[in-house]
Amino acid sequence: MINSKEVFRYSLSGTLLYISGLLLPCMTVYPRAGEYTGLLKIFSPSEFEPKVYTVLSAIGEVYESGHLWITLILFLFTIVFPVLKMGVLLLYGLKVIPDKGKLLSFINILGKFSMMDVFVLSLLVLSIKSLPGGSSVELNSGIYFLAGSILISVYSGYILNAPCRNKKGPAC
Amino acid sequence: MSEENSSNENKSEEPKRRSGKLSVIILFASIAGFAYALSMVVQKGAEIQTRGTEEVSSSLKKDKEYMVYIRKVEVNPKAATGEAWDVGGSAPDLFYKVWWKSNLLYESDVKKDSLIAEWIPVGLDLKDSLLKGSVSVDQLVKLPIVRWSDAKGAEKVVFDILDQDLAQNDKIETLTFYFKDLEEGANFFSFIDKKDHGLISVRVDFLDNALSQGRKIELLRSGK
Repeated sequence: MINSKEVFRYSLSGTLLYISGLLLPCMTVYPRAGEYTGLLKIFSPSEFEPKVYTVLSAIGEVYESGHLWITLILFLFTIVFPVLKMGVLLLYGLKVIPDKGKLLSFINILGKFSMMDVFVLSLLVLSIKSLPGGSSVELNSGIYFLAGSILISVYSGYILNAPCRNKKGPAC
Repeated sequence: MSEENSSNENKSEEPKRRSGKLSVIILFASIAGFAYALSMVVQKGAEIQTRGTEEVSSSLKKDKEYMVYIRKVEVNPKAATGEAWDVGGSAPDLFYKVWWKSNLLYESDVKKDSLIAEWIPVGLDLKDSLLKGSVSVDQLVKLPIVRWSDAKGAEKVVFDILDQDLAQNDKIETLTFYFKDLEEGANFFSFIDKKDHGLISVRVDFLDNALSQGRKIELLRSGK
């Protein structure tokens, strides 16, 4: 039998980490222009100042650059779906949603539309890959909180699914 | 038999208990992490607020050095005499001079055929750099430095705004500003209601000389 308290604890942890990940900076970009950095920095120091991004500020920047549709997609896949998924898990933990069968299928669907894990992975790849002119990306604490949130959210789904995998749970 | 069953139950209960403990530990760690995130956000917010307060313009301070220049000037379409500025009807070739303590400190470059002229005094003199064979940071900003050292408050800085001519430069207006009336950053003056005045408006900027060269260049470029 699944302990709903346990699901609640995990989903609450995931939610707290997710909110922290959204609030904290995820990455800092250090712009460089190769060997001309020093000279160009004199003329335009602000262009070479490190830029700090949170998930929300990155989405905001996409919006400001005039890409409304991409902003909507990003917002939906990195904010709305993960929030829904964690919200549903929280509600199950609080026993507000009693029907586990429907819940599982809903969470599975939401999980498939969640892009947070892709986002974290893409940032990791970006940080490893060298950028032109010696520019670099440094990952900040926010990314670790998001990664933790993803792991916990996956584990919450896993413990919910466990009885179904063993074909023991009555709701399966 | 019953003992065997109870030991089996205990065995199956143990991983559950362990998992329960783990969930509690993770929850506490997450709460701590969340508190950390909140404190960071509050700290950052306070930093931004402090920076915002610092950037509010203030009156010039005594014994502090300032770089001074005219950012923008707009002249009337006709000279004070009612005649055209230049032969052939072309607009004046504007430039200005800065005087402090009766000494000429600076002469700006000439903005040809302009009724509105803007000076952004950041640049690199390529000819000069090539001759010297090197580029130094202080070559980029060449502006006069002044200091308000007079305790009586009568100390002033004087600007001559002129129209460059082949024979003799025409003085459009002489502006005298007292340090006590000026502010750090941009100072706007409008003369639109003074019909015999050569100027429509002028913007005089004072820049803290103690700022880093990078910050000065940034402010001069942006004009903020």
